[in-house]
Amino acid sequence: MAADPLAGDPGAITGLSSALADHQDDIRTGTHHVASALHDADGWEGASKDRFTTTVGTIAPAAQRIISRLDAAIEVLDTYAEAVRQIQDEAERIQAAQLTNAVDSITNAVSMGSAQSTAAGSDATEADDRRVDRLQTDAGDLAAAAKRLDAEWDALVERRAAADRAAAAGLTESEVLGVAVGYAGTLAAMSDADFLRAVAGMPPEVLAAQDQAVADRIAGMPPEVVQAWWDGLGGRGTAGEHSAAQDALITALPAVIGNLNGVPYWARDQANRLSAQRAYVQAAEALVAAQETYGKAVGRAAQAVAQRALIAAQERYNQLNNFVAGARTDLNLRYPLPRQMVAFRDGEPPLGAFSVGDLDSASSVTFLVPGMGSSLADTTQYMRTGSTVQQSQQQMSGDASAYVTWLGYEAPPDFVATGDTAVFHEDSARAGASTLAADLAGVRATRPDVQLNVVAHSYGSTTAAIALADDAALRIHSFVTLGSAGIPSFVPDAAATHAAHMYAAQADEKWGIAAFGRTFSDPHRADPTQGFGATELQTDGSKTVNVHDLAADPESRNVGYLDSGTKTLLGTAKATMP
Amino acid sequence: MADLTVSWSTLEAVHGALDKATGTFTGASLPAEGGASGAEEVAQAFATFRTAQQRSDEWLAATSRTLGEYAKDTKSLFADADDDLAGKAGGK
Repeated sequence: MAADPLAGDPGAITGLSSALADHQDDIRTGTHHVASALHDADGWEGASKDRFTTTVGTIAPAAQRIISRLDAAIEVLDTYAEAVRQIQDEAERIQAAQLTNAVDSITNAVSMGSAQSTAAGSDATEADDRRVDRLQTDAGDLAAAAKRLDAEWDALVERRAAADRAAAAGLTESEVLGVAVGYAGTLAAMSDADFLRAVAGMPPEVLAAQDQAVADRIAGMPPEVVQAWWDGLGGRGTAGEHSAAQDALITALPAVIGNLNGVPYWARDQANRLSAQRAYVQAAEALVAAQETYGKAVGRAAQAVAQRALIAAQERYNQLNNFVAGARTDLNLRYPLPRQMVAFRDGEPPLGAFSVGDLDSASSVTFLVPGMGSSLADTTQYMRTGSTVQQSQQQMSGDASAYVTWLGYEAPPDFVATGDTAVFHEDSARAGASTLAADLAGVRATRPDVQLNVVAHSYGSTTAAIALADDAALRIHSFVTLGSAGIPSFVPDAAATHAAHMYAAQADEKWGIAAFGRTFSDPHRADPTQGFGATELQTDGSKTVNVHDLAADPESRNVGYLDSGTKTLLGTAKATMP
Repeated sequence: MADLTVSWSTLEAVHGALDKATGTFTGASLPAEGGASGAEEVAQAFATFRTAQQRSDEWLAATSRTLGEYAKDTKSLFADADDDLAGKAGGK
């Protein structure tokens, strides 16, 4: 379609340019606050400061680059506004001239008709003939002028088209976007090696602006390729000491880097905290919005819909709130250990894993796999329970296995509380097993010699047994089941889990929860303490386990499998001792 | 954590400054083209630019927010030091 020289509003285009200048001011103000934070941090020293310093140092240069790109966009818009203004002025002049020409041509034609009639009369004079000649000359001049004006208009249409092209090209050139437009297509055509090199060379704020396809491609890379790539960007690194390229990847693609096997866990931790914090803020905002909607809902049907939305928003908020609280919740440790957000997948429901212990350096890593009814809302509770085992290990040897609270699968709802029968079936376990196996393989890929254990409770043991049976390469040292909801029949014995050692505990639980789950399981699942080949952990003693929970309410007389003073706690601590 | 040297008020100030930065980056709005050019290809190019800019802004906000939370978490990670420092700071 031909360009319209009169289209658009130069004033509005200038307004866009002014708004971008205001945007620059906002970014400058934000950067000033960041500089204040850096200044305020002068009195902060130690290892915990290193990570802060490294990352905070990326913001000001990125902000400066963004401001420069806005400068380039402003220049394009200002140039374009001026061009459109000139073209519109010129268009108005041409249109006025064309109108005048048209009127003159009509007048000339009328006069010509009259003059020709007079010149054809019997009393015509030479003057009449000359008048016809003059009018004919004028008609020729007017036709030529009209042709010239049409040509001018056509040229103006082309000029406007050129101005539009220039503006469009200017707004999408690399000085404005950070990379050339269509670069995503170029990336897609690259080999894996070239692609990873190109991605690592992008500034973080530009990398963050890339299409989802870039993130998806990185996420699909094999762990060994990822590990070699990452190490090539400045070594394995640490939270405090790593390269700018590694930092850019963490901050720009947190959802990918946080769950990317082959990336060291300090980096995954940083990335996942970023993703989880972002999700938490969004969940808090969504909860406020849902509360407002519920408060304003009129009519029974609308109230019911709003109430369901509010319950869902509250549940999601609780899950994310508890997960991010894992960074600071009190633990039962004898000596403090670092914490790492090992995984975070922001779906419905959100899933994740939180470690107490450094997965990049611990000599032993243990995954704690919870059972039915568990979700991210239970993160701190399971972290504390895991830390009770670690406390025992610290008391025994001074060293503790890094315990990963793994809430990476959508566990079946608590049958007792909801009546939902999913816990009797294998679907949730099978779905969770593949994710668990992948996360365990991620540890194995980056830590080939680490001692890797799994402690699984209730339905978590069903999930874990499938994961371990499916992948012998995980080389699990100890597999501990506590109050198992049963092991599927296609994992016939302890040997089939490929674990070097398998332990199982089954207490005489109030209400017989685990036994109930096994009895009604379909297909039937076996009790790993009964002729399965696992070493049985005793549950009686001075503190006899009497409930299904891992940790019982301390105010009650109940005792859970991993409560202090139980043989199951001691047995689990020994089985997973570094 | 023996190597930690920091006061409660320092971490409070760091968190506060980054909170302001996050708010500023989040609140920084970008204009929409809204038919100003009257030309489809310019409007599309502006939309491309705006999306890229918006994502870069989000990166600024997310990074600031994470660092602010990190400062906040640091206070809580060193519970003993926190209690001590909080006591000295007037029971904060």
